[in-house]
Amino acid sequence: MEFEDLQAIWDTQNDRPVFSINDSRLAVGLNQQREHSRRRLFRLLFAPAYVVALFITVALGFTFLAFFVKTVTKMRLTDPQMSIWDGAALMAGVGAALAVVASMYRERRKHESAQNVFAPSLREELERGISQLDFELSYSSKSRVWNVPALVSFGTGVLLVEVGRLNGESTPWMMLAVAVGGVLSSVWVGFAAKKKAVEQIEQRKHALVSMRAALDENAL
Amino acid sequence: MQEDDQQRLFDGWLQSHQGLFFKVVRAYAFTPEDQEDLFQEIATQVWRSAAHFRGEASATTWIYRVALNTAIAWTRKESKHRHGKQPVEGVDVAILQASPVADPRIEWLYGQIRQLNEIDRSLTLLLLDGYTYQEMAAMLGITENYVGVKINRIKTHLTSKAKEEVRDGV
Repeated sequence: MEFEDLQAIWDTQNDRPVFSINDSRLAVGLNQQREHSRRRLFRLLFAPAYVVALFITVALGFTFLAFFVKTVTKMRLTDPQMSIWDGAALMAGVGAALAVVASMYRERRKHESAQNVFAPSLREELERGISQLDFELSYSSKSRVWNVPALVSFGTGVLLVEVGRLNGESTPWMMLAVAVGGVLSSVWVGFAAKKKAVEQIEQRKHALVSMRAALDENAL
Repeated sequence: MQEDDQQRLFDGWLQSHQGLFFKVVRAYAFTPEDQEDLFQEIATQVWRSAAHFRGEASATTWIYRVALNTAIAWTRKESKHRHGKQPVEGVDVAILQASPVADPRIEWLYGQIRQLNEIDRSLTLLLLDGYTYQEMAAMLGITENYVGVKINRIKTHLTSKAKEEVRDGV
């Protein structure tokens, strides 16, 4: 046998594709990947946000109640008394925490209602996969990276300041500094994590978009 | 180049040069998971490179160059991280499913190619696909003389292995 014979064998690949796409297996694989993405997003983003918002709301509620009772019963008159501004700040803190989770809850519910519909074909599975990645990308947008930590930190900041006032400190600067530091550091962490996350999601989306284009061309 | 043009160019390449992608993947990665991993890596690099394609070389040569260099880099990286590697997700295996009617002679040929080192594998693929020494040297960044020496050894090695197979009646 000569090298030319090996070359002739090699060239037979060009007559018949050595690989092919198994559509149904690919659809199942994509479906598993999408399910995994949905679960991961809930576990890493939504569940912690719900828990934090609940914690802030309950803590602010207790603070409000305690401060109110302390003021009404005129307990420790030398301590700062609850003013209308304290009440407004506590309400605003609750509002900020709830605003974050309410919009997240609404958007996720809308998204999940589309994602939960059975995708009977590879094309539809690809569309669902792309939509899932778009949803994930929306949580890495600049406004989200600012808004979510800023609102949560605002709620936490109000809590810290009001707890300080409840404990007898009229202007708890230290608490305020901690709150501002919290906002800045959480936004910084958000931006640092965003870049890598976006790159990974874009790559996955690119792969799905290419598959869809190939499907359109009936190439794969 | 606009991203839309880049995407269109890449889609066209993926469609018309599928065979090339698969040849490189099969020569460098052995398990279905690794093959898919490498396929995605090559596809990503080719997509990135599409923005810089000016048409000075043919598309095939361009893609081959990117694919082979990606595969060589991937092999080096993989051999370092082989022990900690996790299998990729289920979707991956479906893309590169070997045809059930694969030619055993082709399988044998790929088996021989896989036993070579990463540069020799590239040279063998290019040789079998009919590239000249000059083109191979330009693609892999080595001298033509070196290519000549390597190719002679590869030809001798593959031919002797093939003769052994024929003699043993396989």
